[in-house]
Amino acid sequence: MRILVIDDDEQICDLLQMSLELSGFTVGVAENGRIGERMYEQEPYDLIITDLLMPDQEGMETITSLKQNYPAIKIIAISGGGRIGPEAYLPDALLLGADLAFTKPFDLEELIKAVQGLLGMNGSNN
Amino acid sequence: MLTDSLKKFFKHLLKSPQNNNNCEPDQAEIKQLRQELARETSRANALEDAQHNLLAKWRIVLNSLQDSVMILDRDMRVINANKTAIDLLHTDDHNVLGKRCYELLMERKEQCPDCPMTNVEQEQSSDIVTHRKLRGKYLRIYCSPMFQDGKLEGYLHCARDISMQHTLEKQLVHARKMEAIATLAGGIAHDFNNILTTIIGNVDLLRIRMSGSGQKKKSGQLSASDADKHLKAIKKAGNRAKDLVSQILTFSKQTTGKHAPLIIAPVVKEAVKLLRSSLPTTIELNLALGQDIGKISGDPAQIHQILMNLSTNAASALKNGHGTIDIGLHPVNITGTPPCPELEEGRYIKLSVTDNGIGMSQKLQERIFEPFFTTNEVGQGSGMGLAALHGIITAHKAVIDVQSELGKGTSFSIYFPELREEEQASADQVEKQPHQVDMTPETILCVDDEKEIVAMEAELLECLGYTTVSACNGEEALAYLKDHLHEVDLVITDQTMPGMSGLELAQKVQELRNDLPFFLCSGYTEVVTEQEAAEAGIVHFFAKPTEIKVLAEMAYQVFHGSKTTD
Repeated sequence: MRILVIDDDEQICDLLQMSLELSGFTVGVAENGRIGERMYEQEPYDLIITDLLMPDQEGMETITSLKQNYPAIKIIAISGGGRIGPEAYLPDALLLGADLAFTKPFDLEELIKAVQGLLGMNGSNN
Repeated sequence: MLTDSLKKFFKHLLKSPQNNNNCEPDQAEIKQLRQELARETSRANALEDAQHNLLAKWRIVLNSLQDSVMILDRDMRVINANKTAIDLLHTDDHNVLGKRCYELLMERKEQCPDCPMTNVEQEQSSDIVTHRKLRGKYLRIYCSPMFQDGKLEGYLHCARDISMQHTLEKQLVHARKMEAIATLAGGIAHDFNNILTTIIGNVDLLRIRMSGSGQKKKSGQLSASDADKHLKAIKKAGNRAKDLVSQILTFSKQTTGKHAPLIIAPVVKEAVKLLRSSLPTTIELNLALGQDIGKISGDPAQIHQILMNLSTNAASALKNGHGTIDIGLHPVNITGTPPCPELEEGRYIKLSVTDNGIGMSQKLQERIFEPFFTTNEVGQGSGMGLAALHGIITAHKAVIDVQSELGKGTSFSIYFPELREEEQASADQVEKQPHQVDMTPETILCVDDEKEIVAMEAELLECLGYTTVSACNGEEALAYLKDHLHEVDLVITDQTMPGMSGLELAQKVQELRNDLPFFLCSGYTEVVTEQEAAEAGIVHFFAKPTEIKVLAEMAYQVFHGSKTTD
């Protein structure tokens, strides 16, 4: 299974890549929504984990665009918030089509379980 | 001046009897003259009463004025003063009248060097304003010349007590900073959440891999280099958090307003780092530093504030939160026609903040420095921002210039006069590896109310070869030292602990043994003065989180420079 991580924070990308790879996934990394979309167009992924506040093209725009073009795509939104806290952004991400939302800092094991759930790998679809 | 009736009366008396056969005065005429005299006297009395009343009313009005008013002659001697002036000078009429204004207000024997009267006379201007501080009060002084037939007769000297306004202005500058902090807090929280995600995630991952519960086979076989990878990521994230805290502390510091020679470039760089953390990542933030940027006379916290406030304003001016903010710092030499009229010829350091946002109309540009003028929506800010900044900029003897075009953006430039001193200290510290300790290990007493910190500190120092003893508060440490006074070679203590603080512990130990060195660690800066620290035997002060490498290096220096022989 292929997962694309979109986040402008290099350390978060490294962490997610490492943990997802250890769980058996193939992982691609993009530093903003524009690059992420381009990578998806070139070679589709099974699931996307995207941050919301990023330069160039932020997460909301990315989720909207991906869901419009690929309605079946699975997306998990992650955010540490901005001027008004993550709880203000994540519900909007769900409204725009994200399947799940996680507030940073999140529990890595829970996130991986959620990824597996969305991909139907452990029978517990969140 | 004699009235007509009085003249007639005297004329009558002076009539010579020789010229008049009838020596007897005309009784009827005398009676008439007497009556006229009585009327005149009464009229004169009424006039005098009216004048007296007028003067009394004038004095009441003058004394009712809340401003101090003094009327001065050409030699600046007081010829009249109202009650507020007398009260302000804490004296009475006798000690004021005839004295010169500078003797009374400034307790000087000579005219003040920046006396506004000189300008009043030379420029024939009608109103000159200056500021003076008198016995703890801040006064705004208005001076007007008094002319009669085109000739200068004296001066009207009015002073208004603006101490309350001065205090409020100071509070508003601080409030504005707090407002900026509130705006920044959200942005900083974003960065902290990312940092925490990295730390917690790497710890979780390390534990998962150590327990071998991952899906892939290799996850159970955690090599030393794998573990090191996670630890490096944790340390990197920790250092990011440390930098962020240090930037917030710099910004939240109460400004002293005291100006000292300042290399401005590092202050600007630091503020830009904090800005990068606080502004949405949808905003591109660029910094351009010129060559050979010298020193200014300034307060670093206030420079920080100028930049933070101008940049957050620039961010609000960007359309939909998207756009670019360019920050520039360059030395400039102003000759010929300056970019703005207030700027005189000379060398300056120009700090500029330019955005490509909505821009401002000419009308708006004229009003932006007015207190409480704001373009923000209700609830978004008080509008004191630029007015407060203007005060700070003026105090730096700097000049601010605004260039803006509707739809294209705005550029604020601040010209700080450059200081002549050209010494640039290069303080790049070379990273050193901690010294391993020789065969006779020294004993270090570690004191901190956070058990995890004290345990970690002790473990790290032991790894470097020291013997350690731990205590969880000042009292416990003091009790141990009383019993083992000469067995401890160094105390590393936290400052902020319940009960006895680190400084108090050091002071108490000083009474028992005055050659025991102390290292004081604190999460806050400037909690202890240099003198207090020196008197208590504190040889080093560390801001938390403390790099173990630095701590070990300092301990090594203490032991190998001035080790006791006990």
